Amino acid sequence: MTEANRPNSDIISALAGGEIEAGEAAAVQAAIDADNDLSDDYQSLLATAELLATAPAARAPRNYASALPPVEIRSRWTRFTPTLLASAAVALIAFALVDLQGSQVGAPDRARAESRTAISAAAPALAESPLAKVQAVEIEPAVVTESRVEAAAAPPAPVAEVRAVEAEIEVAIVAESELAPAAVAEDDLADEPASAAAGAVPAPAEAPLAAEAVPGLQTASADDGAGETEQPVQEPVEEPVEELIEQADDGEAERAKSAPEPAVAAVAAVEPALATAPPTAPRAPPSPTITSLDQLLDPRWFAALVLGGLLLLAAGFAQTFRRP
Amino acid sequence: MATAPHTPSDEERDVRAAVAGDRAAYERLVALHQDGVFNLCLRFTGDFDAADDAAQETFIAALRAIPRFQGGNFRAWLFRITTNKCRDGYHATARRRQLPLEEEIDHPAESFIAAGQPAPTPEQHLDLVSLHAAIRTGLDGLPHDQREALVLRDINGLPYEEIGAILNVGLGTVKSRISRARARMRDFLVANRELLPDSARLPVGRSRT
Repeated sequence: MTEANRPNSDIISALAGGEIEAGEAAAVQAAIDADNDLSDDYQSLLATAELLATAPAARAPRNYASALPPVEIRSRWTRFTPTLLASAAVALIAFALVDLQGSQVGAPDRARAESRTAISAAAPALAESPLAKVQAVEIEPAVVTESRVEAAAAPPAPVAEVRAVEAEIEVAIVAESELAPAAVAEDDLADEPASAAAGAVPAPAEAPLAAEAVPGLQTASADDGAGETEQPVQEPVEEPVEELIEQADDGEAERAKSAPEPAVAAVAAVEPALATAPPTAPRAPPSPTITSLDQLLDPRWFAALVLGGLLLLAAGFAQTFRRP
Repeated sequence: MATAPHTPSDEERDVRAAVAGDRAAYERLVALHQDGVFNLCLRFTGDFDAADDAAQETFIAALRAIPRFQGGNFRAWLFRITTNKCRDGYHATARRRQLPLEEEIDHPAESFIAAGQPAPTPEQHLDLVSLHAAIRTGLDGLPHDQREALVLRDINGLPYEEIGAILNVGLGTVKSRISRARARMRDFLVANRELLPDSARLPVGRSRT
């Protein structure tokens, strides 16, 4: 037998332990019989295995069943309970995040409501302010302005008048935003004093300019005092105002949120004192809890939430899949 | 500590009942396997008290884990838990191990299982003690991995596949560990023949390591 064909110690040991296939066992046995060293090795290993098999077994020193702790055997499905609890905790955290994001989305509504309250409170002063007069002079919605100023100056009638004042504020905001083009148009008119002085029919381009400046308002001619081509003064068209109110009510969160800022800017351009006046509407005291995502994303809060979630998950999985 | 005869079908029924939450069925399984588990612990750790503790921890762990038992050989599953518990206590056991022979001589005769045999005579008891001590001493000289494989194979009689499952190693590794452990054990027993009773002494031959 060559050294390459000689069975190694693992095979001889497997043969001694009876853990070898019958066909291979015959070949190995033949090799062992042909080699005295292998035969001695095999016989000693076989004797060792037999001796170990006859090793006396000791009795257990006590009854381990009586020493078991009084715990109930959990059913098969209760082993998932820790994981389910951890998942529920993480889901709660996620729900809290989503809820905070939802409240953040709803925040413009609250901001809009606060701004509407502030505007309503400041409406009388705004209507009597030079801003209204400037608007009346520049755009000349004389009839409408007077009626609205009167309405604004009247004692507060809860619903209808407040809505009218709100509409006026909206109109004023739009007018201020369009003030620059209107001024350009007036400059153009000033360049043609002859036609205006002669009481000629205003240029057709003037009306569209004014109409663009204040949509929804009656655009009286520049020389309505002459009365030559006096056009019938139309009643204020209510539909566009209502549309503005509806737009403000129906959504446009960003517009509603940013609406007071252009208004304040426009007022500041005319009356700095009014723009810097403190808000008269009462504001709710700041909540001591987390009310915005920015607060939640504070590194300390965020780290605490993430760490808590990870710990819960780790505890759940460790409890569920721990080694017995 | 005599237990009622337990057939394989009884064991299977008790295993199913224990998995379903039957505490009494689990206690019957403990009574059936506690000697085997204790002996396994004793041969793994080489220390009587450590084996007692490991056996207790094994049955407590098995009580908590039995709802996860997926079926198959319950004894192999229990031995796997036993192996893990004994591995946890190897370091503590190594520090407090006593001389096994002196310890075993103090053991009463009824501490050894003599299945179906009458109580041993004092001479037979001494032979049992000597053999037990010699084997324990030889096992203590083996590395842990080789000792585990040899005990599971030659003393507990498990097939190689189950040993691989218990030790979480492949079949080739099991064969290799058993071969090396058996060779080292043979060399120890040949070199310390005086520790063995006359009937158990190995024939003197050319041994190779």
